[in-house]
Amino acid sequence: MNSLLNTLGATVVGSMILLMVFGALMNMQTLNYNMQQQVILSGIAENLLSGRTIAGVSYSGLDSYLSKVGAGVSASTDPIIEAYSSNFKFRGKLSPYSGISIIQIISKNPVNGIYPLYVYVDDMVNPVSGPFWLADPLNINYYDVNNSEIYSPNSNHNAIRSCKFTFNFTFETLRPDIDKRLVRYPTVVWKYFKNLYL
Amino acid sequence: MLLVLLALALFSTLMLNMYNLVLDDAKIVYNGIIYTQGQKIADRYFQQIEAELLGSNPIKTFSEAYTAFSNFSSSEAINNTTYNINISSTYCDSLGNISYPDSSYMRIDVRINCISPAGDTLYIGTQNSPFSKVLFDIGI
Repeated sequence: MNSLLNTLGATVVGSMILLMVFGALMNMQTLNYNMQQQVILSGIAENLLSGRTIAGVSYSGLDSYLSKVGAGVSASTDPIIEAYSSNFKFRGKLSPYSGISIIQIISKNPVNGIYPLYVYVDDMVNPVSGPFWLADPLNINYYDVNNSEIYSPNSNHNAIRSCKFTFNFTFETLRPDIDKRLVRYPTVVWKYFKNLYL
Repeated sequence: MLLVLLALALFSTLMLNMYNLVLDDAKIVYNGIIYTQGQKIADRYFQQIEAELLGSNPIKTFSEAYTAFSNFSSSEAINNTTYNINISSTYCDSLGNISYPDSSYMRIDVRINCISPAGDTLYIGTQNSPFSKVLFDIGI
């Protein structure tokens, strides 16, 4: 009888151990997966911001486009077309040999609670980049020559000299109930429009 | 039964150790995001200084920029992390050496520190290895 009780007890406790081990392994797997996603998301976001080269073809990043604000635009033309918190549209030459392009960086209405970010160059229907998914809408703050924030930027194009872009890139988590940190890549970049200082 | 209980104790230790390692990895990944953000803050100040020196009627002259950033401190709160920024300007030679300073050349050094959500103090550009940029007064 004693050995039977021992066997039953060992079976119950052993099962609990196995359950604990498998549960812990699942949790670690999820943590690792989310970390991997975090690294991938960071890489994608940084490629979008600073550009990348795929198979010998270079793709411009937002940093490159934003450095062209007002490039080659005559003094009689407004280099900025639209300046809102989630939409920035401007004119500039992408190269010394090209005509003046129109470039737009915009986050649109949410799809299933997340916001698509697009970059358009000249063709305002087919984006050159996007969608990239944001947990919050793109937030752009505009500053004047004294680094003071402009609160009605679309009515004060002439005053704009720099911008602060706040992104919150996102991926779906594998198991949000396990790893409470959602896969996000929040980042802030600044851009001073040097052509507008000249 | 005793053996099973012993196994339980051993497995618990193993699991705790494995969790610890995974959480250490997570800390490295999340601190990496903070380091990257710190570099963007440094870049922001380099951009500002360069932009303000541009044009025939610049916002700041070369010497005014030198004075403004000779001992500049600020802080920036981003995503619940406060970045403490310290910028210094030093006259230098064309290679950034300060042994033989020339007032036509200026080296801007940016140092940032912050406390990560995990409680670590992170140094993004240090006293000995700051983010540096050498500027030349082209005298326009």
